[in-house]
Amino acid sequence: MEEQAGGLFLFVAVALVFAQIVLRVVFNIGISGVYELATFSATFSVLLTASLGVKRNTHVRVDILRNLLSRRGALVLETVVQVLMLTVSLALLYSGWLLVDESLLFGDHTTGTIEIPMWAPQLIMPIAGALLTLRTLQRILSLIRTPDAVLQSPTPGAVD
Amino acid sequence: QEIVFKLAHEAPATAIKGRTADLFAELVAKYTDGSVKIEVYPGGQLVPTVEEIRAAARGQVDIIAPYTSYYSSIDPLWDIFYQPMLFSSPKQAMEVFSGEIGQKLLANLESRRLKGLAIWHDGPVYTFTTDKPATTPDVLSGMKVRVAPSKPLESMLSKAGAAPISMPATEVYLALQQGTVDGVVTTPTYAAPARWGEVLKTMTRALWGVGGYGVAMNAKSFASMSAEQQEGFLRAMKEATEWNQAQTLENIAKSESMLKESGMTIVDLTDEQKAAWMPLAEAVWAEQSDDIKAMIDTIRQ
Amino acid sequence: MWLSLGLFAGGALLGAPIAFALVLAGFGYMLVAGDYPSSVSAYLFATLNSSTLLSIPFFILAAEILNQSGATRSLVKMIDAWIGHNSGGLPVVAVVAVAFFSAICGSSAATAAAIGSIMIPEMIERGYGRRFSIGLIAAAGGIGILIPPSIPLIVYGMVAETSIAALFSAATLPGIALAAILCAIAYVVGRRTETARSPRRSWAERVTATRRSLGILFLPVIILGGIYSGIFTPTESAAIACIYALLLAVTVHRVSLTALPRMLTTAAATASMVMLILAAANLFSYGLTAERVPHAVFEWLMALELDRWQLLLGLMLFFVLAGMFLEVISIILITMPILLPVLAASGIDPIYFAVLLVVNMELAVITPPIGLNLFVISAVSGVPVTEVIRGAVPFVAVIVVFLLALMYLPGVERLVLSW
Ligand code: NA
Ligand code: NA
Repeated sequence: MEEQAGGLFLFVAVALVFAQIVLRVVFNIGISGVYELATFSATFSVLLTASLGVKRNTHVRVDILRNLLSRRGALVLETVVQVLMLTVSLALLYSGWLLVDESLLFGDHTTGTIEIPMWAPQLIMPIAGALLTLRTLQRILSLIRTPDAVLQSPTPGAVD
Repeated sequence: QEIVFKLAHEAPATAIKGRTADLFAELVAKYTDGSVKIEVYPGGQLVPTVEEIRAAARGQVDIIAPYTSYYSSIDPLWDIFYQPMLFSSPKQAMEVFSGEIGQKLLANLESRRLKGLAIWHDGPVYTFTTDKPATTPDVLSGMKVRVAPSKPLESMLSKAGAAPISMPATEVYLALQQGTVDGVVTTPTYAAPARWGEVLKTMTRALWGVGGYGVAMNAKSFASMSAEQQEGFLRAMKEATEWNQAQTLENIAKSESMLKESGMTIVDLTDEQKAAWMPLAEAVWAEQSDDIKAMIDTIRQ
Repeated sequence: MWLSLGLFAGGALLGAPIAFALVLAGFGYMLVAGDYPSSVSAYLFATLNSSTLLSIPFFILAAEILNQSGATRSLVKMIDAWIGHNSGGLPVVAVVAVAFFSAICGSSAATAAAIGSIMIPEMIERGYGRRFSIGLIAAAGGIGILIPPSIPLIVYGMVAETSIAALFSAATLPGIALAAILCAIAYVVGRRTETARSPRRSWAERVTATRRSLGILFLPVIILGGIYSGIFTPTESAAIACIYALLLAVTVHRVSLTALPRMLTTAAATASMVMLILAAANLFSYGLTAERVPHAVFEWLMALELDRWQLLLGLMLFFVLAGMFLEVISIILITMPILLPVLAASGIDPIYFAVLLVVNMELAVITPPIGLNLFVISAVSGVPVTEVIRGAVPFVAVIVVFLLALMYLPGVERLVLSW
């Protein structure tokens, strides 16, 4: 799901910037705020897809220590890393939630023709935190159930 | 025990804001006997410019001095700085914002957990082009003009038939050089150090607004000082602000002569040309909220 | 400060994703500094949400569309038809492509992602060493901030109040020279590698292969033409590249639009990894800046009152160190205001110095612990980051020697400033 959404938002961002060029060059129209919408869209794409990297274990990691360890050691290490990631994900969820709350209170919006209240795009932060938490939990679960399969999952960096 | 405050701003340390901030830091140390220390972070190195106001409200940084236009995102009254053809001169604008109107804008920040401290000045907002000077709306018609997001300025451009283009500051130099945009609306004090004079040909001194900075502080940080420290702190702010005002006109003149040296033609409006702009400006004023309209009336008297 | 360094190093060495280790360090710093916890999210959001970074996911998408539609394959076939019989050819083409692309887009991370995903698998498949292929692309990606247009040079001009046109002109020759040096290395190493050579092709075959890849060959023409005729900005050119690649896929390569979602999701996945590391690295450097670590080291260096040659050396060492943790624009903003009067006093031309600084910054993106190009290339090629680092080492040496030559070879300064 977040995969499709991530791709879609990337497409929307490209389309918005393209539309801005066409409006300016062909119709001599400038609308401030289109850039903001495009960057919001690209940011959504990045943050929604981040959890997918956890699910597929494709985020860039350093594997020195793991390569030195036995199977048992690698399992312990992977558990430690997953718990660490769970902590970061939960912290992001909390921090993102506070950010949205803060923006609701602060009431600021983007300047220019299109005024977007900041809390709206910032909702992506707690959503991303929640998705990351979910995916990390899933990985921990499968680490418990099928440790060997998880340990042999794709090399870091590889995209499916 | 020493209190340390972080003052973050986006201008180069050498710009008038950077120099005012450094002077302020010096004066605070002097008037509080070194018990309050201000660490200045110029050039937006600490927080992104768009984040400054929120970072101060949150207490991540203590003191900020963003362009007044950034405050429009929390209080539309700040749009008063960018009402075209409203101010008669940069000097008059300084007097306006030293008075009641300035105090009101700063006091309103309290609802955002901020203490408004002062308004520092920068320079007049003029139109610059790569071709003919923008003396009348006809000249500007059909042009693409880069402007930092601001409702009244964008509206003024649209009314002249120009397309207001928003674009990151770092891309403007190239965009002017290659003709992606035909002009900019900015202050000579920004254009000169940014070297836009190398790629612009004309500056038209029609006063579309006045550039300035709202100096504000996290309310809790302010309250963390003793009454004595607060007194020294505010005295330092008052003197730094006076220095800023005394320097502003000189700084504008210096920037203009820098632009002239790089080959720029500087044009003033004739009464006739000014008359051609007035209906557009009045139409922009008419679009403002009642509060701003009241301010406009006060300023015009 | 030490806490955040420790958290990052610990997290990264344990094998946590780099981005997570950096965010962990960010949380650690904010916690100690007593910042409100929302500041981490706020900082990440504000960094990701910058319009100057927008071109990175766009160029990644353009490359993905070209790859999946087969446009890249036709380009590689064409290159092979012309120079496949010569084993030094492909690496040279790779360097030229990377230098050219990065010169246009000005972002070494976007270049490494876009061209790396095309060229690295091809070079490895042909039998060029993994480390050599990776190191070459990583090093060449940095040339873009030297060859105009260059955002770091524009920022330098704004801060140092020097002519941007003069900066561009001064950086061009060293940029071309560095590209030429990398080409020479690529050729020599390539010749000595046992690769699967193709037979020499006839002219007719070459013309056919060229005709098949005309569409993709036209892409740089459109981008450069568009920028230099003022139709769009360098950042916007990334969106144009996507649209053009898509048109090419549909019209020339007969790809059905149903393939688009897959292109989008693959590109989004790569872009996400790259952008997260970028944003998290920025968050990490926030702690260093807020604690004034670079300021302190820098002021210490300034207080030493060194001779001109010593000062240059000291500054370059400082910039190498700073470049390991900070990003080029932050470095310019932090150091230049303090440095300008010092340069003036020591008689070092600020424009010449800008060239040294930017060459130095090419090291920053290919050196650990935070070397963005290293991470990006690991992400797009699937090669473990430790091996990418090993691949980059010889090229780090090359750039260091090049920098020393710029600093101390007699006559170089005059050549750079007035060629
Ligand atoms: Na470039
Ligand atoms: Na580095």
